[in-house]
Amino acid sequence: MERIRRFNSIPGGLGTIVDQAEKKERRRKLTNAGKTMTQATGTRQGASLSTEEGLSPNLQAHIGRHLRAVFDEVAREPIPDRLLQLLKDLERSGDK
Amino acid sequence: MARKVSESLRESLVGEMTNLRAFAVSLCGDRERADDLVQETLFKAWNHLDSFREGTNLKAWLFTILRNTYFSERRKRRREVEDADGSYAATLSTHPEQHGHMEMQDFRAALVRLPDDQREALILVGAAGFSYEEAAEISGCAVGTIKSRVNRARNRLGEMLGMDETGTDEPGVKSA
Repeated sequence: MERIRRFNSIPGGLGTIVDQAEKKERRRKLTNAGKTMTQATGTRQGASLSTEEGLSPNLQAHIGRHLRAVFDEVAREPIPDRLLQLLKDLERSGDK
Repeated sequence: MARKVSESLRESLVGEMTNLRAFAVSLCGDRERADDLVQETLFKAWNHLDSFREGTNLKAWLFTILRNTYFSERRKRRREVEDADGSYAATLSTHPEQHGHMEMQDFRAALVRLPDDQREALILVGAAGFSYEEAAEISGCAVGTIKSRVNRARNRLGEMLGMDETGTDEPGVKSA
């Protein structure tokens, strides 16, 4: 209880993680029954979804490629100095 | 709250920073804001490393902190400036410093115009490499909700980019 209160005091921070952990357990129990079905559709990467929603696998692939391109372009960049500097500062403050 | 962080955890943290930045930029569509988000995430993560169990999914943990930070900031901003229709996000769609050909620019512009929750789900599943289950945990919602958000996001992108369902070829793709 102490832990949870402390997390919740962080604005926009970690409180939800704790809440999520609790919900997760409940959700797990709830979804357990349909789990094998969920996994089956999940691994087919939306092949079945496309027929439900009318978006062809080709278009999905097209969107997927662009999405990954946007993401990867940034992921390939070096970490900006100010972030590395912050990390150093945090470590220094931790050494005290 | 001073602590000694194990070398391996520190390395993992640095290792995840490139992914975290990519998530932030894709999510908010603005590099400067994205780096602010990463900075805040890193700061929060560092100060709460004791709540992180080593060996569990560090990437998911960091992504969760980042998206919570992003969404709480968005909610605050929305209260200050009435922006229910996402017009604020729309203003972020043009970035002269962003290069790449026309089609990628169109795609970026369409991406930031998606509703926040749909964009988030699409990025987590379609680019960041999370499973639907993991994405649901990160976003704090049900797996089915993530699936439907991803679907709606794809459909909406298809509409915005003017890709019609009959065209099996990809209009104007020169391959990247």
